[in-house]
Amino acid sequence: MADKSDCTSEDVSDAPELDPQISKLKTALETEFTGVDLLFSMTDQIPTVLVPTESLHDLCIFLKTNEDYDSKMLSCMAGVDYVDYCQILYVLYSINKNCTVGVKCNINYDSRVQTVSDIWKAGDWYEREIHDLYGIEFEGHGDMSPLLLYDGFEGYPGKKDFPFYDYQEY
Amino acid sequence: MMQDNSENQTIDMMLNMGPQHPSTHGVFRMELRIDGEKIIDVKPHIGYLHRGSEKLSEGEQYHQVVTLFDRMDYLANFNNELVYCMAVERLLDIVPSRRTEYIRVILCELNRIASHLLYVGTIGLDAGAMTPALFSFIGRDRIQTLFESISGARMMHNYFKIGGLKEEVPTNFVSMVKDIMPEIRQDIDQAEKLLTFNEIFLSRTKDIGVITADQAIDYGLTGPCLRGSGVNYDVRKSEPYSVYSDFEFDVPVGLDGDCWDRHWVRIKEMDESLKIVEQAINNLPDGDVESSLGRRLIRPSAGEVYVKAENPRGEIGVYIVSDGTDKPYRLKVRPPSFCNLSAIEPLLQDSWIADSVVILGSLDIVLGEVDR
Repeated sequence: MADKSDCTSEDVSDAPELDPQISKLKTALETEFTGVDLLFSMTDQIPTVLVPTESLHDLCIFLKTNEDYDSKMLSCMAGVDYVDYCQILYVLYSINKNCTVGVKCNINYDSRVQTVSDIWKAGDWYEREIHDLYGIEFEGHGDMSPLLLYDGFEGYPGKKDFPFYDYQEY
Repeated sequence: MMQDNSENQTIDMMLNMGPQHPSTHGVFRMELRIDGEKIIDVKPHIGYLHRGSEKLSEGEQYHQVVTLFDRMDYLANFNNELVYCMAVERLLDIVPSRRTEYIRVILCELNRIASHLLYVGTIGLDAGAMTPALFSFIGRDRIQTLFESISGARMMHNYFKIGGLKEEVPTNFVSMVKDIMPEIRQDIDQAEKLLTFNEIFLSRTKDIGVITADQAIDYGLTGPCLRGSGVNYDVRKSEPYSVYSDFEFDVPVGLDGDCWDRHWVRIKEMDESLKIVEQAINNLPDGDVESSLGRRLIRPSAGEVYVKAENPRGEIGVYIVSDGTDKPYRLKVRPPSFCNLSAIEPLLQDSWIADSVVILGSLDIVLGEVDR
């Protein structure tokens, strides 16, 4: 469980019939992002790429503008706490091409990641929610005020070390 | 004393709408900056109903999470249960029986009609018409009474189980559904007659709250809100799940992306849902609805799954990370209302206060789902 990337790359070999989607994504991205450490895997039935934090923003713009992927919609953004780091999954969807792409990004809790709210407006609230629950700072996001939690709430309830069942508000 | 008019100037006023406002459809608050009756700027505040459902489900066993999904979109309980059950079924790699799938689809589509009928009532109230609410609740009540006889509850059914149903439907299920279908058809017609082409309603909704297709996609709008803007996107068609590929139905699509188009799409969707119910009930397969898992504790192998489905309000996505234990490691829901509501800022800018109520009503949000 600790090393998620190993786990998902095994899944690819288990499901060889899904490989064409991965190789398509691989050829599209590797010509554009040479020298960037990209890791491809399947998240369920979605071809996914694990990208370093510094290339995330460029890769998202590429997937949005690329003709084959045309990911005009940011379907979902999910943060997962793996104790040592936080993984964010971006589910991108293209209505014209009817294809889904996943982008994953591992972020250390002491570092920041660039916002995607300038690429998709939908990213605005998703990022505020992830900031609420995990305390991830998004660089370039204008308003990081609490969305689901109230002003002045202390702690990050999405994280595994949050004392959820011992938590007393009053 | 007379004041010199040249020194007079207007200042913007802050108006707080909600959280206890009847037209905010729950506990939603927006800070409006207004100049007279015109909205200059809007700042939405959500989170008043945040119960931490996602975090709670990390402490519940897989079969217990169904009840939490009931309480997210509390107007479309069956649809929510379906998407969760589908996600865990895919994680476990099991397929429910065809009879199970058909009954699920029938209940989900009836739930869609019930949800849209409630919408007709509330948009009527928002636009200043009391009567549609009274009539549409009659139709909604018929469907809820049917649900009650099947699951034992009018809302929060907890009827879908992972891999099957909680129990077999009553023996007169088919005749019950067939009996209420003509009545529901009448209810839908009545709702349409009362509201859709009503001149006052048209003047309150036509060309109000316009959102273009590109803008709607950018904000992640789905469901009737997106289709109202002329984008033909329905998960039931684009990526058919469950047994939706067995049925013939159309996807109504609007033109202008205004409040009326979103309303019209919902009205037409009810007809399509009824078509699906009709086909499903006529071809209802025999068989078992018991889950192949029996009453065993579920421990899916480690992995991830992302499943989406079409709820009455739009696309719902469920992302589950399993670590091989009997509880999900992480469960994330992509609620349709959350994204639909995020577009409230561009929709309300430069509109009138009176219209803001109609625009919010036309988005048809459920705060239980927005806040989770």
